[in-house]
Amino acid sequence: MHRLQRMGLWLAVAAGLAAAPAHAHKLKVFASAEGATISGYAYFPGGGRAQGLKLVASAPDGRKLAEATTDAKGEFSFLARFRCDHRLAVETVDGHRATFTVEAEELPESLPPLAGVPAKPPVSPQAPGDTPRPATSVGTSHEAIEHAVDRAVSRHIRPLREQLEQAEAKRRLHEILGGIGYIVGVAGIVFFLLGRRRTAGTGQFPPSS
Amino acid sequence: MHISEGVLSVPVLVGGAVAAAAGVAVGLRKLDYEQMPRVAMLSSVFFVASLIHVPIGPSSVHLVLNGLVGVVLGWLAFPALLVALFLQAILFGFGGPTALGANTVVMAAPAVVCYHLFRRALRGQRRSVALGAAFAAGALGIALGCLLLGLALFATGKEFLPVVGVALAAHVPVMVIEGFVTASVVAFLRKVCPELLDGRPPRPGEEEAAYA
Repeated sequence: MHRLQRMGLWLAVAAGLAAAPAHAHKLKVFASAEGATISGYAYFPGGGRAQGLKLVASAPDGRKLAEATTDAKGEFSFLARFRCDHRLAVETVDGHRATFTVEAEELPESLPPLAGVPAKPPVSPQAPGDTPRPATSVGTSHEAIEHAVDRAVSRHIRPLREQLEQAEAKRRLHEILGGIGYIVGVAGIVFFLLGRRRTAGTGQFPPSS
Repeated sequence: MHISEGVLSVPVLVGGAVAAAAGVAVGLRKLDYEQMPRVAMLSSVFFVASLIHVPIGPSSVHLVLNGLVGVVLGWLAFPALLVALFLQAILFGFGGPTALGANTVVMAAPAVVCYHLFRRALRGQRRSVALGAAFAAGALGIALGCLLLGLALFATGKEFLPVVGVALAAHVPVMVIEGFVTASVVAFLRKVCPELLDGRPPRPGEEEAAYA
């Protein structure tokens, strides 16, 4: 019987090896800002995109800022109205939930800060609720160049950030083996406790079989 | 089948934690020295099974194997799944630490139900009945899990039927696969180690009575 159980453990390890390259079933969401537009997508790592999910963007203090729904490709986009951290949350019907934060620094400085949230001083103070100035305003002003650079940079680093996200979602072998190791460790502790309880009455060591 | 962090309301989380604690307490009372390796082994099987994917449509679901854990462990499924779910939460981000209690109940309670429903059939003389029961246990573990998932979300304020419908539809392939996996494991255990299917090893003197 002990041989059988040892074999079972090895089977579990082998299954872990086989499953190592797979991804977890887990909902994830990715987003980045390009100008004042926040766009991204919701997906299941290793599966497909998550379609038709409602996405809620809220401020750090919990105020709701915007809402969007993922389309047939799992993508969404909306216009940011304030320069503050946007905490995006999507939720599936069956209880999976994912969050992602687009930080204030990614958004153009022309957007007003959210009232009540400490933010870096904006370039041009505007009352909250104002619509942002169009990010595509043509001109040779310093601001326009800054916008263009911001947008180009965010467009170019986006694939990189996507890759980073995906690499993070990947299950690594050492995590699986580590988990099995923990279970073996917990089992060892329970063995010890049970063994103590068992020998306490008899004053004998447990039979070594 | 894992409910994520921040989805359930606080009363549901607390209720789940209390129910899970009760289940684990019952399980630990039944735990003894001989069963420990078996509990640890099924705990690791469950821990790893969640990484095996069944891609369907845009989503993808994973194996759960709570029916199998149930028919072998009975009430011990509670402590076994608690440990495995905790590790899944911290290592893989499945579910989460606060939802641990609710997730344990969602998956371990069906395991216990399967154990009580199919225990006799699995040990019976007729192989076909035993394998049929094993298949049913594998499938029912998932189906009941979906039902409990729906209840947990319903108690949080979601609608019941749509949630259960979506969850069940997504898990139909998993139910079939787990039915086969459970049946093949039971077929193997019947051959090499039938006492494993009783949930506890026969004590000296009890062996003859059990097989009479």
